[in-house]
Amino acid sequence: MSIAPTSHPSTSADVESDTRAGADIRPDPGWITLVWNDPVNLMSYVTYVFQTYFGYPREKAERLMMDVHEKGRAVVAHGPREVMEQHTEALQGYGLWATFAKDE
Amino acid sequence: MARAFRRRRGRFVADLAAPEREIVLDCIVQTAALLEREGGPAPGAGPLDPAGGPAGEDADEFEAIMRRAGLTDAAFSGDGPGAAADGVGRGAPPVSDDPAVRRLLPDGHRDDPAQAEAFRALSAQNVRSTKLTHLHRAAEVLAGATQDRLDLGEDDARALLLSLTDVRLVLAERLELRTDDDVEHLEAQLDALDAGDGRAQVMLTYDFLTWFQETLASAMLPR
Repeated sequence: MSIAPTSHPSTSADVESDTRAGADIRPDPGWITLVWNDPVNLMSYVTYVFQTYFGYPREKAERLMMDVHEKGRAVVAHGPREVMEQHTEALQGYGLWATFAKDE
Repeated sequence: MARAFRRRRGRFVADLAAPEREIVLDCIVQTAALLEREGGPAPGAGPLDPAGGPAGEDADEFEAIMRRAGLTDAAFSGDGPGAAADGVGRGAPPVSDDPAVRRLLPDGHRDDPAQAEAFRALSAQNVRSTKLTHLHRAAEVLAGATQDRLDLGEDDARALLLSLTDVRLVLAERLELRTDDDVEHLEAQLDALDAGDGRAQVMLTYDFLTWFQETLASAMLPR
């Protein structure tokens, strides 16, 4: 089973609309941002971060949170490398264990 | 006596008695001090100067607080405090010897050392600066509280929420909680605590902060 959340056409739009400084960056599925499970971050807190940082609706935020919890990691965003690095930096600022990688 | 956070007319309200506020404040101050001492120069000229100088006495006070709570690495591993004083580079900050600092400022890329190094050069200072900003704000909120009732606006509540994560990450590393099973084990240990156990106070603090953060995160979840 794929570790990535089910992708649908609005997924990259969700991400792109939240890039703040980079609204004109064209979608590029080459890179991903990952969040890894850890024993400290609370399920409620991780959901809060996904809702407030990405602007994801509660249902999507909870699904991603459960993926992290149950599968050990989840892909929380796709896009250009610079944006994935921004997300990684921001999520680490929240204390989540975030990394970026080439989407392979 | 602590009472959980709840949302009230767009604000976040909890009760925390003075000794509990002091514990939370101590933990936040210690976590900020850890980041100020390690992981590179303080971007905003924080209160602590790792090179010594006029802030030296403050550093000693933070050390004393950390020792009191059993939070220093030395308290657990028996290692001396020397490792923290490594030189500060100009490019990517050095990788800390302290696993708690490495968890606060993790590698951005797991498989590629060059990518991880580049990320550390560009982003680690931003992550550190972000954390110090919310840790300092949360410390101000708690230090300024003069009564048990905490009645926080969204920005102060958010600073406290994020700070509690960083504090718990450090405490968990000191307690060697690295997997979900470790946490389950901690719960069992809490039921059979030996008051003479040096870890007991840290375990109780961690458990209390977990409860407190859970109530705040739940209250702050967007509806």
